[in-house]
Amino acid sequence: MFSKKKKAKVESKDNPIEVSSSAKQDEVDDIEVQAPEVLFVEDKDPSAKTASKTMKPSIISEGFEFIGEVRSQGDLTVDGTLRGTLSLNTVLVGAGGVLEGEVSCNRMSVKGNFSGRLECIDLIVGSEAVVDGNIAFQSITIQRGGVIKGMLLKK
Amino acid sequence: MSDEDQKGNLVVGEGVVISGSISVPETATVAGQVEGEVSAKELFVTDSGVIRGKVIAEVIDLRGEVHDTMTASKSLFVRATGKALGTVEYALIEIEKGGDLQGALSKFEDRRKPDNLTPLTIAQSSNSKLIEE
Repeated sequence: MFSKKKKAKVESKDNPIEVSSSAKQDEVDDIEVQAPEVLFVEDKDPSAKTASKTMKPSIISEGFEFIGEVRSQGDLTVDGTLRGTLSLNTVLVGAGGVLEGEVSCNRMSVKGNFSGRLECIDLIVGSEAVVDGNIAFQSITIQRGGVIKGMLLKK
Repeated sequence: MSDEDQKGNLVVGEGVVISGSISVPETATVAGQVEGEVSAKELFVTDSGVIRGKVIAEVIDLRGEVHDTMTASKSLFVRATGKALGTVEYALIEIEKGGDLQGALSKFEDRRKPDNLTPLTIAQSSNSKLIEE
């Protein structure tokens, strides 16, 4: 099973970007490379499933490339490159982040680059973001300057 | 819109229904219903405004509804009450939360000769350059 669950208990999850660099390092260390094509993380803490409210955000750091499937009830910040299938609560693509593939989530905020298929409730496209693909949303916000291309569908 | 200078401007008041092709050299404000083609330099569609047809303008400020095709060669603002359905082309876009945008989106590129009503200025091309960067 390709499952990505993170340790629980963090005080603020509202600003995943604000997580200190040492915390970022921890996240990166957690990820084990199992195969060149597909990377995945073992589910070390099954209790994390019920702790989505306090779940620590996972981070694909700058310069880090991840190809594969990500599933979590928690949040993910992509500052590096991620290609694959994602199923998450919140996805944040940072200013230099690149996300490609199929994403299904509740909230998605793009400050970098996204291409592929997206299904979400809330979509926020930042002013320097580039979003390209098939997008199904319930609510959308595009900040001035954000670029969005493709098919849009309101659920 | 200033009251004193209405040259080149159009206001379609609430309750007014127009069908046909409209070209406005300056600002068009639509609070009523328009069926057909609208081209203007600036287009304001108020909460009550509905346009069904092809819309071309440099700047579009949408609080009402536009169905079919919309091209904003400079900027498109979809406000919280705005609804854009169909094919949308824009150079610069902004959508407020709650704004509705559905259909095929593409970025406006100066690839075709637009109708004589919407001359493209240098400002437009420098604008799109900014976004590319």
